[in-house]
Amino acid sequence: MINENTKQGASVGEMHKRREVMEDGRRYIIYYTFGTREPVSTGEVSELKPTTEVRDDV
Amino acid sequence: MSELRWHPLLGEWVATATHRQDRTFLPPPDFCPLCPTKPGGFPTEIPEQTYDIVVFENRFPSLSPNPPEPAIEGDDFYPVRPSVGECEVVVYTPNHSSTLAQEPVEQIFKLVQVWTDRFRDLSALEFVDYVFIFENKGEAIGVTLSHPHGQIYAYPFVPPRVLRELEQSKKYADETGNCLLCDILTKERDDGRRIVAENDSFAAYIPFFARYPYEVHLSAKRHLLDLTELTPAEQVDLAAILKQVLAAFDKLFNISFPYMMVLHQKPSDGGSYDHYHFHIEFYPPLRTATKLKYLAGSETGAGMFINDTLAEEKAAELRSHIEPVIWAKK
Repeated sequence: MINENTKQGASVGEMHKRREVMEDGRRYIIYYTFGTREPVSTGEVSELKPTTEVRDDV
Repeated sequence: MSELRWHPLLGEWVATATHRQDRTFLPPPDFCPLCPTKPGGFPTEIPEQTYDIVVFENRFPSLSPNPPEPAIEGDDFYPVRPSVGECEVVVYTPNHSSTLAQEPVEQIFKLVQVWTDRFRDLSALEFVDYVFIFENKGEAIGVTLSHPHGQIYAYPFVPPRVLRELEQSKKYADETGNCLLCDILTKERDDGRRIVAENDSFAAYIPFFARYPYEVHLSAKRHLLDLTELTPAEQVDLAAILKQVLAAFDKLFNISFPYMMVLHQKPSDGGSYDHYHFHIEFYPPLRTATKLKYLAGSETGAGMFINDTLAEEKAAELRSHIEPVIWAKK
């Protein structure tokens, strides 16, 4: 039952997040992307910071 | 209108949220508010196309950072307070027709990281005492949007179910010096009959005391209190065992299996909770392919669950559908 494949392929890259104000001007939305891809902004950027670095060797 | 009303008989808060009566109910796929907005198409909640996972504030929240004044004035006998808090929607994927069970394990791994980030951010809010991450899946549970998503409620108090677990765990720790969840896990692993899946960091089992036929609990093997304590390797293992359990659920009756999934973590009210233990619980409503386990008179009115099945038999059934997790090649 122990899964031998568990530690393989766990490299999804660094997490990026960007927080924006939604269309209604009231709520927030946070886009999360991983790896080299970052979301293309369609509005005001209020936050952009990588918060979690995923190890490549796990 | 939205407010918290005190239930003096049970000693817990009840949220009223009358605006939620108007929320979107099972829209056709072309008008799904959780899909990314298509060029020239129906404007959804998510204007952007390129993302892995999206989190946004619920349009119809039960709790909000700036809640309206209560509709009715409370008093000492019937206290009322504003429904301060936060309600977030977590969209697992842009793919409308997917489910978490169908997503590749890499996507679930990403979700674990997003959960962790949201737990960290929401826990830091001054008005938040408990961050509750959960998913309601399937129409049998009352889901109003089929697009794969979960939710996060950040409460201004520790909710009663969790409070009871905390109290039981504290009492056990005071009596034995041990963590209750650690000892439950040891007991389940020693017995083995109710274990569904296991890897280096987590075990999934239908506990001895299961209230639902397919009530799986998923516990960290290491004593830890919340998601932020997971190592990267443990995050990987959590994603892997979630994938295994969810896929096995779907194989049980060859349907997209409905469930409630809840994450139980330590409160964020500044207290000390070393006696508690991070775990995930699943409450699937089905007892057969076509029959629901209803929360009827005894369960709802008395709080005593009647389980028509044996955890040992249901665990064996579910275990037979567990398959290895395949990660995509780099």
